[in-house]
Formats: sequence, structure tokens, C-alpha cells
Amino acid sequence: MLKLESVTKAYGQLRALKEVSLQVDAGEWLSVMGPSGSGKTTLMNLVGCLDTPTSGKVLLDGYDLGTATGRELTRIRRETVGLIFQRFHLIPHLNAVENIMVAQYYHSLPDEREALAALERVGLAERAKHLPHQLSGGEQQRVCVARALINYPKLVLADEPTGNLDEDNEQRVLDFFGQLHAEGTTLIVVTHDPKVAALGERLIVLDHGRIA
Amino acid sequence: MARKSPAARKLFRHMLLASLLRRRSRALIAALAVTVGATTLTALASISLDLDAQLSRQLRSYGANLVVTAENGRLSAADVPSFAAALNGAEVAGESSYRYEIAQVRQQGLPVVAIDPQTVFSVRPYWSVLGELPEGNQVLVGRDIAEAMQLSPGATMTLTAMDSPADPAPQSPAPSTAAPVPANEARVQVVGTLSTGGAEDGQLVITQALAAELFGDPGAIDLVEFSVVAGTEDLTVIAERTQAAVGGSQAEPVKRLASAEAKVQNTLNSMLAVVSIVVLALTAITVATTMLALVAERQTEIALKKALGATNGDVRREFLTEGLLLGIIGGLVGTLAGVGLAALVSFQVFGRELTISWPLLPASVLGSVLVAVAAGYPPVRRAASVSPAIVLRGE
Ligand SMILES: Nc1ncnc2c1ncn2[C@@H]1O[C@H](COP(=O)(O)OP(=O)(O)O)[C@@H](O)[C@H]1O
Ligand SMILES: [Mg+2]
Repeated sequence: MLKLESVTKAYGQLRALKEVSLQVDAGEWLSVMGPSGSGKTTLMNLVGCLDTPTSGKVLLDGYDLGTATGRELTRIRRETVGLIFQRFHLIPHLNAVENIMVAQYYHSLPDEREALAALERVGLAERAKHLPHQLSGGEQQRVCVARALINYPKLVLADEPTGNLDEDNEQRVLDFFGQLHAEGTTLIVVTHDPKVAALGERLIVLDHGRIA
Repeated sequence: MARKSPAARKLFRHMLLASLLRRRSRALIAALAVTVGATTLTALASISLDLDAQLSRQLRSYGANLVVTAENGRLSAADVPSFAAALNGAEVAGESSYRYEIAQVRQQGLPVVAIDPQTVFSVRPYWSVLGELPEGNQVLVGRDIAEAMQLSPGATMTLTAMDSPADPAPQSPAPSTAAPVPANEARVQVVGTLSTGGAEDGQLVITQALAAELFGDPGAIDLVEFSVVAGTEDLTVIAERTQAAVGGSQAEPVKRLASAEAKVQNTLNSMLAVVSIVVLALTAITVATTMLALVAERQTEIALKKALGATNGDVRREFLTEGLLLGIIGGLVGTLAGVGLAALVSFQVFGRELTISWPLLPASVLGSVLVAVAAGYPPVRRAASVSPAIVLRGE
């Protein structure tokens, strides 16, 4: 599913990732830990086709991301990856269901019924017409999860998804990850919380841009 | 990708409107810039397009701009319709004819001009008459003569025709020195004094009917004046055509007036051009900076959309459409306001209703849209170049 071969990502002089090699099989649940600034987000950006490596190879679902054009990266990201952020990132002027439909829009076609069904799945059916600022943090993150799943991605990337959540909402989100995993979705979850990390099948720890 | 489904279009429209509404103060500034630009330019263009005609008409108040005389001898009143016919097409604001003679009054030879009181003001609106224009056996006395002879309205005098016709040129009021041969006489009454600051101040003004009685030769005229609404070039052509209409006639445009007219128009037009360029530049700058600010504010949103699969083309399309929308709104409002402003100015300054140039309206709306889109291009490019990676980085 995913293979990194000696991947380096440099920001000017600073090398955020140093010759990282990693393989993730389809359906695997990988946890990523590491101190702040160790390169976790950089890794997610590369894997999520949001950025390209300075050197080394990133192979995702059979595509070599290092040689792909921007347009191809966009297409691979759209078709393959679902993203969940620590800071939710909902579009402030669109309501919950519209935020989900935006993901459908850029992927293929918006379908309100399907978007509503996804909201129902995360327990927010009656909040569909609320704007993000009218939702609690946990509710916003659940919208974000519904959005990440709406296009049935093969790979879900979550960068500290529960970092800003209370325990109740954290549990709900983690339950979803369990469901996704059961459905065969590949999961990579960055976290500071050993409890969350323990849910994965495998754990890697980054330190100063290397896998420890 | 197929984005043509109604649901997709609906969402696209909603995303756009919601985002503009959310930033309505900025959107308003950009739309207002386009509105002000369109208002100013439409008003200027409307006035400018209408100005040639307006100005020409205004300058007609300074009198005739086409003068027809005989090459040798005299013209006849019967020629006048032919001249008028030769002007066909051009708008004729005034027309009048004159006959020049010499008459003896109190042993003194004085130039006499016979006029048509019905039409003289149409080409000599600057005539300032104290009293009335002459009728029948009446005379209007030039200011200098009135002073020298101490004539005031109500006074009478005897006009005695002198044989030789005067020099037909109106500018030479000097009495003929040829041996006076007294002919018919007429007892006339002074009805007013005339002051123009020109040759007429030393002339006696009578009707053409009285001139025919005194001097014979009915229908003889020496000069026809026209006031034609036309530019310098047109006027030269019209003069040639008029001259060709009657053999032995000579038609001359009054150059001084015509070229003054052209000069005023050129000056105004270049001033309008300068103002237009400045207004265009200001509009473009305001739209560009406002949209740049919009893009800067929305970096995360753009990055998020890209992370969700939006292509650079998608992002460009959204911002261009926003620019387009601002352009259309600003253009429509501005064009209407501009025409209104032009009509107001036209009414206040020229005292006349504006002739609206209809093709200007769509042109102005289209121009506004083009300016808005062109000014939006640098911000749009910046928007498309936002990296999706920033979305995971937080703020
Ligand atoms: N766009 C960037 N430009 C320069 N340096 C960056 C950029 N992004 C990340 N870095 C640096 O790269 C290192 C790794 O960052 P990051 O991957 O965000 O760490 P983590 O997510 O593990 O906290 C940090 O030192 C960070 O300052
Ligand atoms: Mg991070």
C-alpha cells in the first residue's frame, strides 16, 4: 500500500526527515509517536501527497509520488487519501453537511443524501445545518471524520486527531477508527497519547527526523 | 471532471456567495471600487460622446460659421434654396441673408444693411438691440451713428438712395466716394439702436422690402450666412458643396470659429482620456489589493480545499468567479449611476437632455468585468500557488 525508501525532506538547511524507510500494508493500522518537531507532520504531508520529498521515493498505491506532477498528486490524493486534522479545518461559512459535500464536490459530485448519511453515522444528523462555530470541538472533529470518509479512501491519515477533544468525543472518534480498520481501511494515526497509540497494530517513533 | 450536475453548480454558487457574504466588507470595497470606476468612466464617456454635438450647438450661439458671397456682382434671393439644399444632411441652426447699400442721410453717405428681421438673430445672436428690429419704413441705427447724429427711438430722417452699390463685404462700412446720384427717397423712423462691437455699429439697418423700394433690384442680396452644426472638416466639405450648388458663388467656412471648436474638443477629449486612465488604474489597484487581502485571509481554506482534492484550476476558477461577480455587480450599478450622473451634468451644464449612447452601456459593463477579472488575476495566481501542506501545520 505505502512504501518509503530512504526519504529525506529538507526545509532549507533543516532536514525534517532524514532517510526514512517505511512500509505499510493495506489494511494496517500504524501509530506514529514522537516529540514535537520530530517530523511527524512532515511525514503525513509526504504520504498524503500534500508535499514532495527532497530525495528518496514515496510509493503510494502503486504511484511514485516523487515523479508525479502537481496535477497527478492532486488526483492521487483525491482518490486515495482521507485527511483528519488536529485543527478540524472546516470551512467557516458552510454548514456541517455542506462541508462534507465540498469533499464530494472536489472528488466527483456532491450528493446531499449521502453526506447526510455520513453525518448520521457520526451521530450529528440533527446538526447538519449548523455552521462550524455553532458546533463544539468534538462535533467539529466528527464532521471532519465524516468528511474524510465520504469518498471511501483507501488510506486515512490522522494528525493528532484527538489532541483537542474531551474523553467522550475522543472515544467516539477512536471507535470510528476501529470500524474503519475492521472494514479494511489503512490507517496512519499520529498521536501523543500512548493509549491511542496502543490501538494500532504497529507503532513507530520519530526522533529528530529518524525512526527510532 | 464532470462538475455540471445541478447539485454541483448549486454548491459552487453557494460556496461563492457564502464566502463573499462572510467577507462582505471586503467584497463591498472591491465592488464599490468597480462601481465608482464604472460610474466615472460611463459618465465621462457619455458626456464625451454627446459633447461633440453639444459643443457644436453651444458654439452656434457665437454666430454663423459658413458665409456665402458672390464671386462678382450679387447673389439673388432665388439662390438661397439651392444653398440650403446643398446643406442637406447637416443640421442647420440658422440662416439669414443681407443686402448692402449706401444711402444719404443729412448730406452724409452711410452704409445700409438690409436684413430679414425674422431670421437675423439665428446667425447673429450677439446683436444687442435697444428698441426693436425694423419693419416697413423703420430703421435700426448703429450705435456710433446714433451717437454722432444724436438719434434716439422715435426720431425720423430721410434716406436717399445713392446709385452705386456698396462693397459687398460687411467688414467695409466705408462710404463710397463715387459721385452721388440721388434716386428714391424714403422717410423713416428710428426704432432702436444696435450695438455689436463690430461693423454694424456704423450702419443703418432696414428691411429688404424697404431696400428694394429705395434701391430697386428686388431680391438682390450680397451675403448669406449659415450656422451649421458640424466639425471643422465637415464644414470645409459642406462649404465646397454649397459653393458648387450655385455658379459664381463663394462659400467660406468661418475658420476661426471652426478651429476653436475643434481645439476645445481636442483638449476636452485628451483630458477625459487622462482621467479615464487614472480612474482605471485606481479601480484595478483597489480590486487587486482587496482580492490579495481576501486570498491572504483564506490561505488555510484554500489549502484545505486542495487537500480535499481541489486542483489549481478549481481554485483559480473560484476566485476568478468571485472577481467576475464583483465586476458584474459593480459594472451594472456603476454603469447605471454613470448614465444618471452624465444626464445630470448634461442637464446642469448644457441645460439639455443627454443623448444616451446605448452601445456604451453593455460596453461599460463588459469593461468593468474585464478590469475586475484582470485585476483579480495576480491574486488568483497567488491563491492557486498556496501549498496544501500548510493545512496540517496549523496556524
Ligand atoms: N514549512 C516549513 N519550513 C521550515 N521548516 C519547517 C516547515 N515545516 C516544518 N518545519 C520544521 O521541520 C521540523 C519538523 O516539523 P513537523 O513535521 O511539523 O514536526 P511534528 O509534526 O513532529 O511536530 C520542525 O523543526 C519544523 O520547525
Ligand atoms: Mg505536527
